[in-house]
Amino acid sequence: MRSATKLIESSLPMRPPEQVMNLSRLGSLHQSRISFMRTLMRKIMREKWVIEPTVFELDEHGYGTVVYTVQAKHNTYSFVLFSNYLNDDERNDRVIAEKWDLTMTLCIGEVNDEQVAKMKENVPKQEAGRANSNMIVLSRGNKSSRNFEYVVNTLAEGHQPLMSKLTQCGYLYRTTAVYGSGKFGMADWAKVKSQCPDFARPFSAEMFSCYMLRHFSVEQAVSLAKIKSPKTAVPMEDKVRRYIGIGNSTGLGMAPYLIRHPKLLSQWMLTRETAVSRVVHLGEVNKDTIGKLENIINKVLQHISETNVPDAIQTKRNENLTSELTQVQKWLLDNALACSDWRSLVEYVETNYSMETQEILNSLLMEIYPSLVDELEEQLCVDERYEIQPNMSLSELKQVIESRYDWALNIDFSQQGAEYFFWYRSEEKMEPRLGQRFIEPGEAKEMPLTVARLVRQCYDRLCVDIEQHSGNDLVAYFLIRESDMNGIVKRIQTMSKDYYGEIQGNLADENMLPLDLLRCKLSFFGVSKFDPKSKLWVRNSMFQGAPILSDIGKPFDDDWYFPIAVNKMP
Amino acid sequence: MKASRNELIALFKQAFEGVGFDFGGYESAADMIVWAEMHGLHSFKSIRNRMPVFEQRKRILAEQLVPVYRENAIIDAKRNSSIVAAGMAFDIAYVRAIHGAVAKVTVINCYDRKLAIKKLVDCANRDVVCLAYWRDGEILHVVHSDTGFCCPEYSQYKLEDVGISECFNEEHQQTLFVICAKDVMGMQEYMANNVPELKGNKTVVISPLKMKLSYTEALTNGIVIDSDFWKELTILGQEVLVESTEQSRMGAGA
Repeated sequence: MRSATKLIESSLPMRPPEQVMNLSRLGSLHQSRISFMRTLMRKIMREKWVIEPTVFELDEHGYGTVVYTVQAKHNTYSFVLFSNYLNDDERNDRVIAEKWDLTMTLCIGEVNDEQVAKMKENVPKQEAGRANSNMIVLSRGNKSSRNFEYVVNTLAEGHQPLMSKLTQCGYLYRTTAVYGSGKFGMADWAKVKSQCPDFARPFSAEMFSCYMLRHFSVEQAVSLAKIKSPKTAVPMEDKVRRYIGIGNSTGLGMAPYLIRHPKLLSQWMLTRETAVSRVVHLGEVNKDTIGKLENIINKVLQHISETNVPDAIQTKRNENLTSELTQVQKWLLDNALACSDWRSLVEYVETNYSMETQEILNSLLMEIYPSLVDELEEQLCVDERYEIQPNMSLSELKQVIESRYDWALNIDFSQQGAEYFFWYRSEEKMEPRLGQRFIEPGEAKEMPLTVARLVRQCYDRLCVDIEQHSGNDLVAYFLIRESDMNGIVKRIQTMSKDYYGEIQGNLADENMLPLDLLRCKLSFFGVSKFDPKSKLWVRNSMFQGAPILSDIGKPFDDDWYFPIAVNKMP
Repeated sequence: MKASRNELIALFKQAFEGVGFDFGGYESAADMIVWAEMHGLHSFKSIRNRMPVFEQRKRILAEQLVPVYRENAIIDAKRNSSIVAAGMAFDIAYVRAIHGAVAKVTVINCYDRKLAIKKLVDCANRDVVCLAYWRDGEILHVVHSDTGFCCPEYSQYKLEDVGISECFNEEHQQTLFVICAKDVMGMQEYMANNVPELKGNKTVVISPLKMKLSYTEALTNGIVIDSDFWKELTILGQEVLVESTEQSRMGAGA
């Protein structure tokens, strides 16, 4: 794996971290060719995975057990799913819920009846059950009740669901949590990475589980329609199936992950920025590529027009994006042919338009040049090792903080509102939450997520220590005198070698938007149709427009991003 | 019961945070314990015996450790576990070694010394050679990193076989000796001249290969932990959780 420094030294100019790691910008990111759903679909299609139901035991209400056997390139896996009755008033997307319509697991190898029976005792309990080391993912989903009933009834009556209905809500189920990486006794990421090469990329197994849930959701609806009206029911047409995705509901719990895994975040951002830099500087501009970009922008405009979101702020953002992308098209018409690369366009957009438009343009430019981008998907993993450098002098540590964490030192924590929030874990399923300092209880149990404040504390203690001892003294001795600085010193020393990684903002500030953190991570997952329900949680769509199982083995253009409905309307 | 590595690290981290370890300290402690268990060193048993001490003596933290003589690199762990003191010992040994070829750090009044092995491995990853040894009754325990393998070798010597030894001194009943050298030659030379106790007949307790196999087995099939110990750790970890209220639910996006 190449380091950030080498990449930056050796080749193309990269955007600086103060620009890239701005929290609002991270909250403006969109999915791209290196998003995890995209890379997973390319892998499945390229390697022609074979996915078959080996158990499909659903009763007349759609409840029961289903097992899909997945033959990937290297190993066989089983996707095991339990469908249970759930009262409407018990349906809750929050982490603290205790019952769900569907619960599921992805595990290594084929499963026998005994293993399925054991899973049936535990998987429906989710966090309250126990998994084993052959299970890679544990997840659950809830019905989008109105949509599900509508689709079942329509199919039962012999019709295809109307696209106009599906643009309102393009999924039948929502996932509310997708666990991996050793949670509840499952296989560790280290095991998945070393023993399951089919899923040896970040969140690949988790994304695959969502993909399988999407497939099952349609299968279940079709099956129920047939039971409901055997004489009139019709199967769902492939073009409709492709437009049905899987919903996702993501809350604050996802946010701490990005802060606790700065090396991984740095690697993701570095990969993305490398792709951006390549396409902007190396992507040839000609009639063909300009035409492609115009077509893609048209598709995005249609996608946005088909995105229905009740949230006023998001609606405004979508309107603004539409307006600005329309102006970008005009710029293309007037100027693009005179350009040798895309720098002029990017500079024009950076000068004149919102971060949202800047970042969607970066994603769209990537679409034109798969050969410059797709190989980077192999670089999304990183060995997350955080280490103290005890031999560093205190003067050098001080200098490192001043040069790499100047953004943190520039925050005035005495300003009103600068320490407004604190992050903590609730006794309810250890759910991460945000509390208002000085108002809500729990401040003493604050999680160490406000990196800027920790850096400031470390810097102040370091300055005093240097005065009392010497700038030539070493970190090893400083950490004996100030042992509670161990965690933040380790982070500073490790991350100072990475180009990106630290989110450059005050995560305790009154005006901080947690949604920006969620949006950043979700963009790497590859979701679309952000639908914020508050500043703290967001609904979105996964795999909408993606190939369906019966497409595997057929020609694949990898053009399912920003899915649109109109041309596919039955 | 069986658990995963990530799960156990999270559990220990939270438990140690619950008994007052600082950010950085609880992560390091969890890492050392789970690493040692996965590599066949049975750390859970020893640390379980130590947990009530941590709990009763909350906030017995590293700042209370005093390098008694900085010149001689002696650290008084004040009857603490090596999960508190070993990291510092290896860091100091490392910085002294790279400035002077070889360095020894003596950690007195230190318990759970076997858990220091993770820090030995971490230190050796800085491209130096590391050795740790300690006396337990009539047995001398020795771990060294110079194996040409990703894991160290853990051996034992009978004290009666090793002749005159610093370890015979009663004040070293609970001492951990840490040595770091820039290279293998430096370590061998130092050992020949300064650590005569390692000239006896050794019994290899855990070979590097056995350690690696133990780790792979634990990663593949899960790590066994006594379910009562699991519950005890969970209870300790509850100290860091905040009571849930309607208002707090709003802070999660309800």
